[in-house]
Amino acid sequence: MDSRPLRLVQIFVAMAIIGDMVALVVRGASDAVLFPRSLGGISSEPGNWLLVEWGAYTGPALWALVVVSLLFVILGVATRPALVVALISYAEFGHMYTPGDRGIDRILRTAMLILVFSAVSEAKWGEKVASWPSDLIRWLLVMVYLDAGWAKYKRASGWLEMQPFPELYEVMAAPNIGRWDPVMMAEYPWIFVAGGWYTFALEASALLLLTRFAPYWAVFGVFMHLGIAATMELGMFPFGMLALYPVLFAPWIAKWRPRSVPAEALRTPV
Amino acid sequence: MTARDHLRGALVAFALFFMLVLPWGLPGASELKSLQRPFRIAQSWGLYGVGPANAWVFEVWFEDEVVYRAGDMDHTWLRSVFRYRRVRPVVVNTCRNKSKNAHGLANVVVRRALEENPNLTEISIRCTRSPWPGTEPQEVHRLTMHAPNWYPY
Repeated sequence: MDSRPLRLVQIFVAMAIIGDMVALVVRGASDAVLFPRSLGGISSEPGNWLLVEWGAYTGPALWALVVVSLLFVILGVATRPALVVALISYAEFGHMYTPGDRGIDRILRTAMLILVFSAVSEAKWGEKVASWPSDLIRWLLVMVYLDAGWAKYKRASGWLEMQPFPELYEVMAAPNIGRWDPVMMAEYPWIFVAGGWYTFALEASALLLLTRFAPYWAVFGVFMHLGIAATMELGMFPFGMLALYPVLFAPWIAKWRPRSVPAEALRTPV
Repeated sequence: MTARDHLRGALVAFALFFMLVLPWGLPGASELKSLQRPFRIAQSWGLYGVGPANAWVFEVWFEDEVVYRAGDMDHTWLRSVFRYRRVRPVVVNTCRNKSKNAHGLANVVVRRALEENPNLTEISIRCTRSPWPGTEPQEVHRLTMHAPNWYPY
């Protein structure tokens, strides 16, 4: 397959994680997250696999390693070694501060683990590469969305039936997460029932990601994640998920080339 | 098919088994889970299946004055920290009295509060719970820190 979708996944995943790391500093949370409780931070129990012990510098050093290595990935300099360093340091970061290592971090590390073994790190832009990493990332997305849909199916009446406070309302109105006023939102329960149907239908149909209809499904997925970003303060989550979407748009990306690039240049075999 | 195609197929098949086994408790799951731990890629799956049954609100008080209340734009002290995605789980679980890092969060609150207000004598973290839409809050949990030792209790 064309290397561009996988290369875009590398770049977007790196950007999403760097954005989250920068947000940690910009939001003033670095003293709380980067240091253990004994030095004024939040977390007292690191994970069992925290292998680095650099005292007070552990957190800041891991933060810097993640950011710098991912910058190398974005720039395409020593991409594969940089990706290995990023994966390991990002995992160590999670071991260092376990309460803040969320599902999206694990999803992106899984994608990074797949990309480490991909030939895309050495391929030229548009060069043909083996497509199995793309297949695996697609399968990962199928798993994520199908499981999310199954979790909703188990509470189907709350998501899909009209009631004063639908499940989607309760998710979006949570004061620690939501951006909108819960009292105002409660006046429009039908919006949340409609949103529940949209979300459930999308997740239940995730197997389409393994077919030629993947790009069309992904358009609806983009709207869902942008809606999540607009209504809830979930940080990296929607952008991390969208970072994996280039593999879904691969057929459309493969057809696109800048006018200055001859078509033959994008069909050069490995 | 070339050898590379066969290798690709084998890798995909192995990875599919790997990913299938793990979330659904099929044979081999516990052994493969041990491989996930170093890279922290184990998943609990089931994103956002259920919303909170009540509106939980996290608050910070300096003596008798509230300085932060979740969802209240009139009280936004350290809002950017409490709503940051890596800190929020501790905030949420502190409210539900389920966080082993609640004291760590309290220490951060105390330290940052005293940097701005060194004359404070009492700081408290309070949590309220209300049926939706959140107009009937009842306090359900409180951590109070007093000068001079500021230990949370």
